[in-house]
Amino acid sequence: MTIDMRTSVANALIDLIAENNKIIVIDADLANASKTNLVQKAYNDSYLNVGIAEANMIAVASGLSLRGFIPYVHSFAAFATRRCYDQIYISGGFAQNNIKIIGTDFGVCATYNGGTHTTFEDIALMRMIPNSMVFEPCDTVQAAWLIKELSTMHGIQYIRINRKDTFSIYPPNKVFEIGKLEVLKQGKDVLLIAAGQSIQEAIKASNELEKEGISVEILDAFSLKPFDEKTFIEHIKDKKLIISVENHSLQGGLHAIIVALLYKHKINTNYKALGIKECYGEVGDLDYLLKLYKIDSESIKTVIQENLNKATF
Amino acid sequence: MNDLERKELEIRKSLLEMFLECGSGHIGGSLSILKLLTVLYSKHMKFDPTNPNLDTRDYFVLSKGHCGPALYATLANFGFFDKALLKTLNQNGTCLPSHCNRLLTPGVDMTAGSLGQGIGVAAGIAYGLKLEKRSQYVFCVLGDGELNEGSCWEAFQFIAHHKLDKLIIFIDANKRQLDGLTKDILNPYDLNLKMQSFGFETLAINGDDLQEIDTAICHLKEIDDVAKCIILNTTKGQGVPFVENAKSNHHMAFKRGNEEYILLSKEIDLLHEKLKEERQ
Repeated sequence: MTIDMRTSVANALIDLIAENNKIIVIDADLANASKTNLVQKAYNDSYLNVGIAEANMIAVASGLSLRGFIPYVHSFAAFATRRCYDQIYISGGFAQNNIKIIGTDFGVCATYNGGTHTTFEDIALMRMIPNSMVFEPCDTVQAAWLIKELSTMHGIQYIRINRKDTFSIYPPNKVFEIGKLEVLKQGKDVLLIAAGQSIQEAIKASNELEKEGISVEILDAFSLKPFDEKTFIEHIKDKKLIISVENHSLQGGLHAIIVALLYKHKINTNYKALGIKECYGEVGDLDYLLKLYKIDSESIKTVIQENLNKATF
Repeated sequence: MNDLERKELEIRKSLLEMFLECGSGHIGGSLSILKLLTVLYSKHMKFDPTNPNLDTRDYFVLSKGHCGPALYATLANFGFFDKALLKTLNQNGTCLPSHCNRLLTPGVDMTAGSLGQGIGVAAGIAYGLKLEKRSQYVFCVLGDGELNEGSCWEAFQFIAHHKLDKLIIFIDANKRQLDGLTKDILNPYDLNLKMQSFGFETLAINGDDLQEIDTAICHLKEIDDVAKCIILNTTKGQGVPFVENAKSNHHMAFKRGNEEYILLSKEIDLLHEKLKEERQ
């Protein structure tokens, strides 16, 4: 039976609570949308709805953390990060508290909720919290694994979740590693690095390019912070072209991470990045928005075809 | 002079010495909460100064975090750390920053300074203690200027809704904020009515009276199942006339040789004498 990411997350939380009654799931009046209502049904005492009050949600989570609870908080990615940022930074990070922040329907996944609910900068913001961790799982298996793995780590951790996505590519009990890139697909010509929903676009593009004889390697960068510098540098060595694609601004996210690494290692290479250029969001279905912002599989294909045989800059 | 009064004077002396040594500080708002701190730590808080992280302790959250010095003067006078440390307020590498930091100072339960956050954290601690079925208290102090921050009201709604009856919040209504009178910046109207309508059992008392503070806390401890608030009518700079009467006393400088420095030194000497007399 296929389940969506939010249900996979809720199930993972329920499993966690069964083992540890210090886990507490907190929502800001979106339980029906995030499916944390499933958690409430299973373990009412381990669930809390703070109402439409994201700043207070973070403050309360900080207080719970001081009593040894392990809070997982949720809202739209935009409101779980941008809106309550100082609370995350000061009451969360600066005070060394333990909060797992689940931000749903990030980037273009906001679809019909449109520009007011869109964030193209949540990864950048959360990376800037000193000692934070930032994750963007691509499928239901990886999301569940992350939720469970984070329960053992103290600090501010952010995880992007695409609510209704049912995408599943990893085998059920796969074990990942925080701070490690997953080599989703081996290839010779092009290195294509992405995370989250963008992995689906990467796979589509790669499958079509294979038919044209272009061999594309796909790296799954679900662990954005900490980022697997070593593996990335190793894997770009023999490639003719590096492509990154993200459902996020080109500033402060995957592209920024890569540029810094290329500079650090003094690597002069054929590298192109797809992502959101400076703009706000708008309403649309997912396909429309992916196309509009040129982060869909067609855009990836085009960029690869246009740049594969270019010299290095 | 009874024990409480003496204790308050000792704490006040420590506080003023701190500011004199440091050369500046948030003196107005620190002075206005000294009587409250004296009563809380003398009569109502369960703690062990040799074990600041005692799991069964009562919690204290200074949401108006800029008055860290008031808390430090109190903690030092209750044995949490050596009084000599008070000289290091805001010095390079100090463990006594003006905005309190739980990672730096024994006895500080929560980092605060970005106004409007401590109260939400206090609510979270209280909620956690309730889940754990503990009987410990959480005491949280806010400034009336701090109430400009909307996040305070988010927290109040939460506290009232969940009837966190082991959390007592104190509003230091000294009626002033940095830029002037609170009623001129953002009129609070009737704070008492506001807190009541937000679902709090509210007492408005004279914040300059040790006995009244004690009585009010005792009274609220007797009541169950409701959010609790004590509004302290105080004077910013309470107890030190030149600070009370200063045009701007949110944050003052005491540079060696300037008038404020001299006045502050005199005040410390006065306290020293008072306490000496009492001992004889």
